[in-house]
Amino acid sequence: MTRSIDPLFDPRLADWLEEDESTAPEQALEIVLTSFPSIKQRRAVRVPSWTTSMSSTLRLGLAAAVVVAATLGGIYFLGPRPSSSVAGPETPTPSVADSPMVSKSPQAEPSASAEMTAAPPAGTPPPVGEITFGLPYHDCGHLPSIEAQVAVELGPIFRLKVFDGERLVADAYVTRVGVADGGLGYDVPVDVDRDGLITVQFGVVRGVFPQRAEDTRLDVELSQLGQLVARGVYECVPLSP
Amino acid sequence: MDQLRGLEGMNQLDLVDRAAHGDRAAFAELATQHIDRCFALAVRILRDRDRAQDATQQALLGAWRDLPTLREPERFDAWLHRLVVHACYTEARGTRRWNARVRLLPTSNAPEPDVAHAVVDRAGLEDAFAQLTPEQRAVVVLHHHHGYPLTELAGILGIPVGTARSRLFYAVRQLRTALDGDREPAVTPGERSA
Repeated sequence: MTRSIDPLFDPRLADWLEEDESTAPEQALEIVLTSFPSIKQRRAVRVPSWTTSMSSTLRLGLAAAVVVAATLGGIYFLGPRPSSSVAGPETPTPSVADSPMVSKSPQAEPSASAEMTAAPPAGTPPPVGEITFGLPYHDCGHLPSIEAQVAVELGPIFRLKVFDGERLVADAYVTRVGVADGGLGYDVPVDVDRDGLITVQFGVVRGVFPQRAEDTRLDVELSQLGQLVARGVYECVPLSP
Repeated sequence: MDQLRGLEGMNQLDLVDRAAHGDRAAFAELATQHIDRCFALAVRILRDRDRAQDATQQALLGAWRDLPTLREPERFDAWLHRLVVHACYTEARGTRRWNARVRLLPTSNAPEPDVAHAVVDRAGLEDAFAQLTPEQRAVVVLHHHHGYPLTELAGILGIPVGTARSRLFYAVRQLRTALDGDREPAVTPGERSA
C-alpha cells in the first residue's frame, strides 16, 4: 500500500495506518459477485452530437425552453392536489398482534400505508417500515418467520440483523431471488412477493438461537444500501398455564 | 468464474468499458482486483471490520449500478474510492449498536520500554482517531495511506482544496497530540507550518 507522501507526516502515524488490515474477507467478494448480476445498471445520459454543432443562440433558446418546461412541469406535479387524491385506500399491514406472544415494535414509525400516501421531499431518509412476526415456537428457542412491510422500493439486496440486547445474533444478506446467505453458515429461506412483502423463515433454522432463555426480546432491523427500511421488536412471553 | 479466464490480462480501461456496457465477467474481474484496496480504505476510516465490509460491498454494488454514468473511465479508481468513502459516511452515521474497545491492561510480563511505548502509542492513536469525524478520517487515509495529493482527494470528496487541507491539518494535529501528549507539548499551527 502507498506510504505517506508527506515527509512531515509522523512515521508513527504512517506505521499505524500501515498496520491495519488490507485484505477484504473472502465473504465480501462472494457477496458482491453473487449479488451484482441481479442489480439493474443505470442508463448513461449521453449528449446528442447534433447539440455540439448548434449555434450558441439556438442552444441558449433551447436551454431556456427546457427550464420553462421543467418549471411548469414541477408546478403541475408538485403543486396542491385535490384532497381526494391524497387519501388513497389503506393497504393492510400484516400483523399477528392478536397473539399474546407477539408484539409489534413500539418504536415503529408511521405505518407503510400511511407513508405511501404522500411523496417525501427529496433528500430525506426513506420511511421506516414495520416488521411483524409469525407465530413463534412454543419454547422461544427459535425466532419465528419475519414479515417486513417496507415503504420504499425494495432493491435486489438487503440486510437483516437480529440483536439480542446488544448482541448481534444474526446478520444475513438477503437477496430477493429466493435464498438468503445467512452470513453465519446457514441459508435462510426468504420470499418476496410482488407487493414487497418479505417473509424470512428464520424459524426453520435450527440452532440459530440455542441459548435463548424465555422472556427474551429481539430487535430486528432490515436495511438496504445502508438505510434502515424496517424494524420491529419480537418478544417471546410464555402463555400462562 | 470460468468466464473470468481471458480477462485477467486485460487492461483496466477495457474492463471498465466492458463492465459499463453490462459485461458481468468484466465487472467481476474489476471487483476482484479492487476489493482489497476498497476494504483497506473503509477499515481505516471506520475502524470496524464488519462495517468496513458492509461499506465495501455497498460501494462495489453501487459501482456496478452506476458504472454506465461514469464519464471518465480512466478515473475509475478515484471514482470507486469516492463511492467507498460515501458508503463509509453512511455506515458511520448509522446507529452504533455495539462498540468493541480494546484497552491496555497491565500484565505481569511487562514488555520492554520501547514496545510498551509503541503499544501505548497505538492505543492513544486509536482513541484519537475515534474522536475524528468520518470526513477528517477520510482525508487522512486518502492522503497518507492511499497517497492521493490534496487536489485530487478534494476532487474525490467533492470539497474545495482549502477544506481538504484544513481537515487534514486539524486531524493530523489531533493525532500528533495524542502521540506526544505525555512526552512533548502539543503541536500548534505555527510549529506545524514552520
